[in-house]
Amino acid sequence: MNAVRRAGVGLAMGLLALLWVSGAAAQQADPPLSPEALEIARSLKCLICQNQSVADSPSPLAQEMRAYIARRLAAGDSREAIVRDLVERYGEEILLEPPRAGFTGLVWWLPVASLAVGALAIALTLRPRQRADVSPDEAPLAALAPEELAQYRQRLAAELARREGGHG
Amino acid sequence: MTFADAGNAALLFAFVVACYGTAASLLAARGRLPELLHSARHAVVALAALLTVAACALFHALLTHDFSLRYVYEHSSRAMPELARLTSFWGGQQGSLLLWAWGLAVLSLVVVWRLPVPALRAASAGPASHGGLEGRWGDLHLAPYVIATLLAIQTFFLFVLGFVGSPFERLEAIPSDGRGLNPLLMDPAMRVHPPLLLLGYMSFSVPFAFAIAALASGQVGRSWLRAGRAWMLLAWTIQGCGLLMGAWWAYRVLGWGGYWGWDPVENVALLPWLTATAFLHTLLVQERRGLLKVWTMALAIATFALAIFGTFVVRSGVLTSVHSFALSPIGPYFFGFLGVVLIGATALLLYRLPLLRAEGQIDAVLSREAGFLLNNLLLVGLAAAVFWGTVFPLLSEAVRGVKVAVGPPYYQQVTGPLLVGLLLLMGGGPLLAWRRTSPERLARQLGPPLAVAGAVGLGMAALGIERGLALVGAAACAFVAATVALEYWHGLRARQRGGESGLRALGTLVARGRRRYGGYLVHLAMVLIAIGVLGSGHQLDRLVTLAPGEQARVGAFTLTYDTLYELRGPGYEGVLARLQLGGPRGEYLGTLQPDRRVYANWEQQPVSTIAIQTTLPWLQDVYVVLTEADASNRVTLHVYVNPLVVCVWLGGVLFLLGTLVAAWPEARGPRAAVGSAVAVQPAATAGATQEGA
Repeated sequence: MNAVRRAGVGLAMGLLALLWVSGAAAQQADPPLSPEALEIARSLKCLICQNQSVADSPSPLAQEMRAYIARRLAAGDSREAIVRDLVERYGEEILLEPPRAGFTGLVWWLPVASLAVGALAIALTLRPRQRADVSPDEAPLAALAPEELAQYRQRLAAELARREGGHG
Repeated sequence: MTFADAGNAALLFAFVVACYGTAASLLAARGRLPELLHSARHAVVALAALLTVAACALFHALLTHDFSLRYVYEHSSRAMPELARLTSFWGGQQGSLLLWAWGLAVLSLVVVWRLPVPALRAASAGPASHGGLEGRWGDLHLAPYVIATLLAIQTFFLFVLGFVGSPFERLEAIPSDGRGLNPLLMDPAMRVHPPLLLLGYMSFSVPFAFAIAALASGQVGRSWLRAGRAWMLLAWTIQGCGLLMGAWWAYRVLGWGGYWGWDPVENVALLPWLTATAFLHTLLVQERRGLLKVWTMALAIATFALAIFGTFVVRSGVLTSVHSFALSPIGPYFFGFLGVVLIGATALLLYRLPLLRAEGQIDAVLSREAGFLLNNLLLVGLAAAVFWGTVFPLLSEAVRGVKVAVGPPYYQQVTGPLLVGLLLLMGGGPLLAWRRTSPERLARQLGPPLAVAGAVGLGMAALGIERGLALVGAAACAFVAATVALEYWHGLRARQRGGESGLRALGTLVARGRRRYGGYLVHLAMVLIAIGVLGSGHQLDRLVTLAPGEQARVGAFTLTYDTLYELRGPGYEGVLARLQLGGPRGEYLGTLQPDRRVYANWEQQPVSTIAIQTTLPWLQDVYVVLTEADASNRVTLHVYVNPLVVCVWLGGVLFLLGTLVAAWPEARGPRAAVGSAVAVQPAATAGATQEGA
């Protein structure tokens, strides 16, 4: 698997370097993006880079995509339409932010759902306690079952012994 | 026989020794035979020695260019300087695993050294007579199981190292030079960051071993708590430092202007740290009130499982696609091991449920206990969301055959609210009393910190900061800082009333309550890190192209490009640009010298050395990457202005300081004992439900 991966990475890097060199001149002409275009570019993944968005990447592919976004925006197209066309061309993988509907909705809603379940569990743990008027330390010792009382005494003795031992 | 052969032999022999030691300590535990336990202890010593030999053999091979070893060939080259070649040790998977195993062997030695030694003659006396014989880090009942667990983990790693992917694997033909190490990994921070993370992952084995020992022996009381806390704190500190070093490395080397990219490898390293943070907090509840015992155990187990997951992911690249996942030769073994760990530990936990019954209940919603529960919900929720986002692309590819990306926008939106929640809890939690706080009392105590928070929020708004998140975040940070200050102040005042003077009172305050006041320092560190994170949300970036003598304005700063120099060093050549940095009024702030290097064997991957200058008074980093230089000496620079990032690093230093204060061994033992003696209370509610189950 190492060889395959390395070949893949190597290929991507080689491609990147090649495009980089040829794109160097173009880079200087890269016009500053409008905030809206920048926002779209930030939400798209640069497919030939490692962990970079289209906005961050200096690669020519990303540059081209940035220019494309700016062009379409200038032509009055909506963000949705631009992103939809780019997804059609490059695949769902370019979306850094997975759609909230369909299968990828799972990635969004599962954490929310598990958090809700956790909160519910905590609420259930806490709820019945509030009704108890007598807090346990106020309950008379006599109310304890004999074996519990014995256990408690034993623990108390052990703690005290340990405490003394610690001082000595 | 060469040194490398000796290393290989040492690994294989170590595997046998680890198998024997595991069996011996298990037998010792079941049959309670002290002789066997002594033998298992010797096995631990032998393992430390054998793995040291293996590690030295790999270092030796790297230093002497023994390219007959595949590992040396793949991860080093003749052109690399010596220090960089030492870094190659953990540049690949096999070496990383060897470092892990070596670290575990040495740490096991320390653990075993601190465990009590059974008297040989006491064999017939039975376990009851050991009751009072409590060692420093765990009592006699735990010892055999701790050793067995550590050695079992070691056995697995030695199996992988010896039989699946050995660092001492030979090549059939000896190449004349190696492929070298990825230049991004040659930065000095890389000498520290990967080993720290690997050692952090590894250290989570020890609290896990104590948890398993407590469950297996049924001694789930104080010894386990004390040992579990101490070792978890150690692992948590190492992992925390590893994460911070990683962020620092990314910031200084990767050149995209940030320090945390939500990369899979970063994410999986964060996971055990998060669950360990939750563990350290619930442990307080268990110590104090005897609650949440099952949950604490579960966290210790989950933390270790996540650490194993992270160890596997860190160098294997498996999270990039399903294919690399399936093709990874060690993958099946790691998942088998993970399965054994999870199923075995869960079964043990279920079997011991009766022993882990809560000794009371949470009496009120407004109590420290409830605050810790909420803290755990947020931390574990955070870990779950990060884990889910990290593995989701794999799941999508496996289930639908469609690749998806889960990028920073997802993590920012999902973790943002949870992190703000944690900050607020950090501010309010310490003000909650154990058992019950009356709303009036809480309101009174919350007053001053809330006032400070409001003042800071309004002040920032007055300064012209408009982003809602920044305002809320800053107010939350002020809230936590004010709470910590208040807690220190209350403690100090109480001491001063006792007749101590200022500094002396501070000294005794911290010395007497290391865990509490060290913990507060860590809270402050988190505030600093949060400030840095919030600040970097206001990053400014510009791409500028300059000819010599030209000037560019970025934000409030001006950059003047002087000249371009040629650069030549061991294994690389490149160019270096010299720039003058000017402030808002044109004053000279410093000289920046970003460069761009091409390393031998890595021509297609040029590396930029980034120039960073931190400026006062707003702690803005001017961060310059040299992306291109053409024949006529024109340079293209990517310039970022990053406000407050330096707070992250300051927070890191304070984090280390705080954990050192909290973890420093108490000179005398009685304090902890006093704390838990106070907590003893009758188990009045035998029918209490199991917490956190």
